[in-house]
Amino acid sequence: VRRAGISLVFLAWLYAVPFLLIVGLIRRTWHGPMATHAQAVAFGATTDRLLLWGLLLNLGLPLLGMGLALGFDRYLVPVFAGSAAGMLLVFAAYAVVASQARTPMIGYVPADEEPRPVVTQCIPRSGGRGCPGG
Amino acid sequence: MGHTKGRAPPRLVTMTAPQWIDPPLPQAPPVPPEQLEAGVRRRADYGLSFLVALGFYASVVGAFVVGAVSLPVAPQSEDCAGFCFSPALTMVVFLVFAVPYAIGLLLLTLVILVPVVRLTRSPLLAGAVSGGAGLAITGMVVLSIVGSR
Repeated sequence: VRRAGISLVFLAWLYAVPFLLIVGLIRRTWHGPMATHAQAVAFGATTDRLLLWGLLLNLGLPLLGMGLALGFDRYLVPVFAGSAAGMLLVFAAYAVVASQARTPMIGYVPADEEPRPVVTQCIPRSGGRGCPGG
Repeated sequence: MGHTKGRAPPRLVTMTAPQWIDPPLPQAPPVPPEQLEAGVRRRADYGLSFLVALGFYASVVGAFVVGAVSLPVAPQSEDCAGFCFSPALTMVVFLVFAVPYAIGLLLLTLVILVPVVRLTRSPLLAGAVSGGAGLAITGMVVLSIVGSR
């Protein structure tokens, strides 16, 4: 039972990390304009979260599993050594993709079609700067 | 006074197996479970390893589908002939065309697993290695076919 539990850490790493990173990369490579700026910001923030969680789990799960294996089940130590090697491969692949990308991987907001507000007249505000000629 | 001297009871002769013919086998010391497992199972379970690799493929394909579906649908312009390809619809078309590659990937995995299960006793490790190798090889084949066109 204990071995099955620690094995779940390996399976979580093997299945969740590629899933999160691939979904995040597909969303990041999509640049098409969103309808509104708020939607674009929300879309970019969700994509950031997917990528960050993918990277975080890629780092954390093999280390957690290695710690559990060393503490409770030495049989699983080579398994998590393999996941540590896979972790380095994933980071290397991510670095290659990031170097090829034209946009920053984290913190990119796709374009939107919302018209920018154009300042046409000066409105005096209390505490603000004074308007010229007024 | 006849002291009736009872007859001595018959000696009970028990026939035991002659020890010198069939000496007891030396008892092996109890083996700790880890060593027992190491001695019994020297290779990873083939079916379990294949299931692990299958789950890996499912999560990768699922990631592509979820990623494509999560993209916002582009506003439908009027100049589409009949209908427009949304990212999700494009992904469905890709999946249909990917069926032969998927079958090839599964067969390739079955072949790769044959040597890999001899390298390790863990189906987790064998499944992950063969899944990654199968996906990498299939990806290179697909890319070379796409690139050659």
